[in-house]
Amino acid sequence: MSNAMNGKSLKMAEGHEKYDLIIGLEIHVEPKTNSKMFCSCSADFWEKEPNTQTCPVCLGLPGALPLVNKKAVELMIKTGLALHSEIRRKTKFDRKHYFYPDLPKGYQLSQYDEPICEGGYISVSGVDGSEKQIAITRIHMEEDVAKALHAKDATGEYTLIDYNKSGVPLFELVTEPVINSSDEAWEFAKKYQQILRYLGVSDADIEKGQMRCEPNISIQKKGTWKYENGEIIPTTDAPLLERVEVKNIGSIRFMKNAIDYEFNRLVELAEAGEEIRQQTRGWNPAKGKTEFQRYKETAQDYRYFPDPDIPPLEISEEMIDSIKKEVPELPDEKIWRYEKDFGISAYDAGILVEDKAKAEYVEQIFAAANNTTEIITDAVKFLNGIGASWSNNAGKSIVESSLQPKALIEVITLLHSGDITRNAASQLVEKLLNEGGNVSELVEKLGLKVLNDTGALEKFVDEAIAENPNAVADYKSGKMNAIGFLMGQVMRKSGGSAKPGDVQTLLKDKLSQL
Amino acid sequence: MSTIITQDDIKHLEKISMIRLSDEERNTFTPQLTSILEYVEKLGEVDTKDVPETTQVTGIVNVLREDEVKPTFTQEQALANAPEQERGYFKIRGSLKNIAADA
Amino acid sequence: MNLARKTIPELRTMLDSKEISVRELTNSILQQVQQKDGDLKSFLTIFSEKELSPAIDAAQKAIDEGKATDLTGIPCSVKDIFNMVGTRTTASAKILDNYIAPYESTVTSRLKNAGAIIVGKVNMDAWAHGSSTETSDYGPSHNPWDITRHPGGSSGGSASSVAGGQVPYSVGTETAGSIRGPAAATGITGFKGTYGRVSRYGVIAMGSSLDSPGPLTRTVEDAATIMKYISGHDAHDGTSIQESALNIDLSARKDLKGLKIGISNDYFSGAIQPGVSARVKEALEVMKSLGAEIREVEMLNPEYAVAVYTIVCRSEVSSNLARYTGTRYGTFKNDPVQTVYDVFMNNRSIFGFEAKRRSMTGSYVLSKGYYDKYYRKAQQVRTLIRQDYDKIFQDVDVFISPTLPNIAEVIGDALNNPLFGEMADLLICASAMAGIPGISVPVGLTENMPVGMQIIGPAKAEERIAQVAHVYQTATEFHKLVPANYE
Repeated sequence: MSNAMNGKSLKMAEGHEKYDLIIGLEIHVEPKTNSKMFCSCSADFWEKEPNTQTCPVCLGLPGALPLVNKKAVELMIKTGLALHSEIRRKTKFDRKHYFYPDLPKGYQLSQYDEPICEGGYISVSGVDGSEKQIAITRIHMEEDVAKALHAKDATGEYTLIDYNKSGVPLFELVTEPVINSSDEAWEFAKKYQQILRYLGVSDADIEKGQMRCEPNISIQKKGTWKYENGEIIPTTDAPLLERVEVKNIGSIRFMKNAIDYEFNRLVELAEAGEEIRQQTRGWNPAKGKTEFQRYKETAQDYRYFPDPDIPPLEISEEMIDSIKKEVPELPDEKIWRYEKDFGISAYDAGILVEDKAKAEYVEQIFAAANNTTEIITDAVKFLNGIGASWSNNAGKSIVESSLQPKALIEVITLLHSGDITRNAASQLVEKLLNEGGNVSELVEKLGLKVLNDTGALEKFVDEAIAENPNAVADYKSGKMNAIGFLMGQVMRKSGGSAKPGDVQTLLKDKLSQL
Repeated sequence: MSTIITQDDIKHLEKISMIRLSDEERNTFTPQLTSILEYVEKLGEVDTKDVPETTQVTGIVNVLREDEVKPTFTQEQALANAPEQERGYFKIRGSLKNIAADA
Repeated sequence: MNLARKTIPELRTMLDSKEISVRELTNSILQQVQQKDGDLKSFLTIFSEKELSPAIDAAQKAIDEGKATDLTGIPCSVKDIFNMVGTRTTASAKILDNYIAPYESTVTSRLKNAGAIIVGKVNMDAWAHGSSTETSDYGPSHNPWDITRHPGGSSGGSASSVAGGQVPYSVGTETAGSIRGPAAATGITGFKGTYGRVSRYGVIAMGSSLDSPGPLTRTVEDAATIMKYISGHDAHDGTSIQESALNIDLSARKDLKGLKIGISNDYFSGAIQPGVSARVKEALEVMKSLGAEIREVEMLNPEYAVAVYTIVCRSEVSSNLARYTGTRYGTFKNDPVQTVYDVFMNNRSIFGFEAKRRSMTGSYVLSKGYYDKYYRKAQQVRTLIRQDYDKIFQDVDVFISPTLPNIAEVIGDALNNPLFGEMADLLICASAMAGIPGISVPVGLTENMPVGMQIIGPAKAEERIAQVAHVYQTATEFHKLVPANYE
């Protein structure tokens, strides 16, 4: 890094101290439905031939009428329940008007003033490490637009449109502007993604564009603002600084990068006394920076009104109750329970529940352990130790390994009964992860059973002493460390089946007799 | 009192409605919109305090469709009316410069 | 003998008795269509015998096998607002000049399934914006009673094709007056059901919360018969009411004894042409003689309903017309462009002036800062209009008034009134906004032009109003009047 750059970041670091970072998020997610939001075309548009999944409704043909996908509504209610939102009992769809080549009807079916979900929160770790609830303003339903490709030929620029994506359901979640760091924003989005996956509501697959993030970012001088009734308001005579919106970011990590980038850029502008104008920017992942798109001169007027084609929805208590039953135990609840019941640290528990499949696997292990804390404690050690490194190396989830939940518990039971050593147990788990197999057969085959035969152990000890006169001499001359080397030799000879304690006692005994 | 519509108002409406009027049409429509608004502003005489809105008259609620995929248009059918197409896509001329999709 | 002047039961008998074949009947009707369309300009698309052959053969087969419905083998026209697979569907708007529908509306699908022979698609005001067909991008249709005059609208081509003796019946649509109005203007019967009674699926939308397809016919009996086939719940239309098809029993009422008819002075005075009021009052006397009791009822000023209609419908129009950009279907203007918005703009500027006006008025009243003043206010008054009807229908069984305030004007006379379409619907807007059914029947002539009377009933009371209209028609001969030059 050049000196100039160092100088610059130093100056900026000073600047950062003067400002608060204020972020609100908008996150679009595609729920997992078979069909589109308002018609029966397949919602699975990924890598399909263009315009092969369309009908009068999603092409916006004259005279076509929308019909609401029941599953999409249920999935949104499920999401709202999981995020502690209020589910509106009366809700409706509205038309949001604007012109764009990817929007077939000239309006998007969305929800304006009666979103299905209002309020709610996701907890993240705040700056000081304590829990911080990020308030959700609303989650509403809308339809996705078509895919537009931009091209150019001798006649000039043109646009190609594929309507396969047109009309696919979308959830739009909006948070209050209460996020104060890129880490919080990152964690919020990560946890939302994790919850959606737990719920089976969405795969939230970044690669497939199933989750898109749009942060609204502003900086304000410390002590010049407060957050009240959902709004950032000034507390001094000075006007607040304008906010910047970064549109359509296709990854949670990029969103974090974009926020960091904008924080720096805004602080630099403010420190240089330059005006910050309200604007929309885009994230350029190749350059690792945001790029100006346009100024927001006036708020766009979408001329919303209730869609006359779709009768309103009245969501009944029965519907909510039956959906409530389908909401599974969520990661935060699991972490809390593991901590309470088994004394597992929040950190360890967090790794265990990172995705639903793994959490289910872990639950099977706990069940096989009869919920016994001692066994579970060791199981967690293996899972987050050998298990985690296996996953890293293999690039796969432990769920995909050959280690059966019952097998792991068998290994730990053998360890606790003193039938195998911890070293042997580790070897076994490693083996089981890669190849699976029957635990007792493996113990037999690999000769891992603890050597309870004193005669055999004595033989190994004698051999080790005889083969390593130097080490013996060292020991005798007071270099107590030498015993470690000799123990290693014995352990190797026993193939790991000897209990280290036994070996040490016998070695000391024999050496003292020399 | 009642709203007076100017040519600038009409030009703004042309922009948001994506419609171009000829000068003659604009000259005709400007006073006409004023008189239309004057006419509908009669409704100001009606007391609607606490009156709910009626946006649909049937009283129907909860028309929901099962999440089933049904056969749809082939690519050929979808594109049958397309003024221009390329490799299975609808083709629209012109750039997207300074055009905002604010969805 | 013009077979298009026959009623549906008359033609049914001829076909079933093999007095005539479906092909002969169709050809005879096609001849009437061709012969008169030079004057009347009812049709935008006329199908050839060849194109109709599969339908003709299927209908004949059904008759021969004794499987005919009431409509099997009987020709008709439909408004060019219905998508019909493989046919040009324009809503009389040039931007759709080359749009070939790739799917079928529920109404035409049901007509076809019943064996109806749809011989062509008829003219209308462009996008159904108007009450005269004068806003049609293809020029106006003409009133067979006086071809210097329009036939009413927006289903004007439906009306001229039936009144002019081209086809026995037609199916149109009404948003506020577009069936009843042209029926009145041309001396035929027009039946608009409760909103949601007939599916809107595949009907090019005008005012989505109002649009209601329905028949234009020679008699109430024919209208009731067609309703039987086109009504009934449709899963493709979320606003379709959960009712089976209307099966109206017209024989159940022989007179009007015990019937309480509501009238309101506002609907007979002021802008209402004296000759029109007079004919309807005479009709009321006839109904009185048949046993009905007439009561004066208090109604909201009908001008409020026109204002509500203007706001609500134009808002919906501005939204419904937003999809016409000429980029997926319809016209493509190959003018030089910079951006895609130039393409949109070029294509959308093909809209006729009325579509432009309505669209922009709708955009205005929906705009930020005006929504409450106009749109919300209008929808609140709409509630009061509905309550108004709820109230009067506690006292009376039906509400009766002239259908139109005046006889059909000379073409071109009213075009410069920016609210012309709405003002012609003065007496209809309230019932349209309330979504309740109405039927218009001819009650004689004034200045040698037909006058229509509408009978309005509460929601879902189609059977009641049809029975009343039928009793009146049975007692009178006005529905049998035929324009002299178009027998």
